[in-house]
Amino acid sequence: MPNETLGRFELQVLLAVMHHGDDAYGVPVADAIDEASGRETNAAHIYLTLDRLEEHGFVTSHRGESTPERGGEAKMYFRVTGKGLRAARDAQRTSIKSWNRVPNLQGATA
Amino acid sequence: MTASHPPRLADWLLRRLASGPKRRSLIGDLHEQYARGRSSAWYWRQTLGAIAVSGVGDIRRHPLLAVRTVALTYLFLVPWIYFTGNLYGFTKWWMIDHVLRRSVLLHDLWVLDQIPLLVAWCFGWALTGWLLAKLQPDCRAGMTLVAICVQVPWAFEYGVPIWRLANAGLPFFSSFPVVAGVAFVAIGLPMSLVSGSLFAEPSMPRNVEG
Repeated sequence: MPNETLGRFELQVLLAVMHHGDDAYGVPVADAIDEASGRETNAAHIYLTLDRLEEHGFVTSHRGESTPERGGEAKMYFRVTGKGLRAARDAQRTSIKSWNRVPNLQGATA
Repeated sequence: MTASHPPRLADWLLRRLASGPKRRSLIGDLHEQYARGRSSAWYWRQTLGAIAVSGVGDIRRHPLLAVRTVALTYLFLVPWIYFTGNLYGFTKWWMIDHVLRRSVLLHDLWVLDQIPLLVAWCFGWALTGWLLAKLQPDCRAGMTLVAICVQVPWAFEYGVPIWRLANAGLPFFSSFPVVAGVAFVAIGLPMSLVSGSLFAEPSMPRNVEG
């Protein structure tokens, strides 16, 4: 993640974590991304991205409870940090600026 | 609604080959989604995808281990190829004189198709996979992938002349054993590496989460 900017998928994952707040663990995050993208995402890809986001300080993680339906494995909850929030806002600003430069495309059909 | 336990083979593969600091949570998530009604096909897709992502992730996270794996693979396989090749060559004539002359089929399998040599190679490849998984249990998918890539040039070098021989105007049934030999090298050897890696214990050596 050069210059601390977010890639497209990283932004999607970060927004999914923000959306679910205190209940952001693998399953709802994956559901949110599947719904937003309209296709099936691999859970390992999401975890790999979350690891990267955590390495860069955009999210933190903590272990949660394990249930029998999870095969005894604990949940891993994620939370967006202040740095992650700023990075998401930067990405939003950049995206809006870029779209404003091409007004003809707004509302156009391909 | 499907059964609450996911496909056992897929689950076994996932527990053996998935890597990364949060792999246990990943497995738990897949279990949870399966229990909520996802299909077996979905579980298999997630498993195979997770293994592929783990493999690539291992190599990215541990480039030095990948280099060590390349060195170890050559260090083990090259002597093994020479040792088994020489052993096969030394014993071939004795076998022809004393054992193989009684059966044409046995003679063809031993001398033309070189089955004992191929089996010995598979054993060596499996042993290499096992050794690599023992040395790097936390990233066995990635290191097995590296080992498979390392042996591809050698398999190619060995397989191409045989493939040409098999297609040098022989009728299909005559060339079939030769083609099978190429398939053995191209598929059997990488599969042996994977098998050796899969059967190395422990599957979950350390809980590195949290």
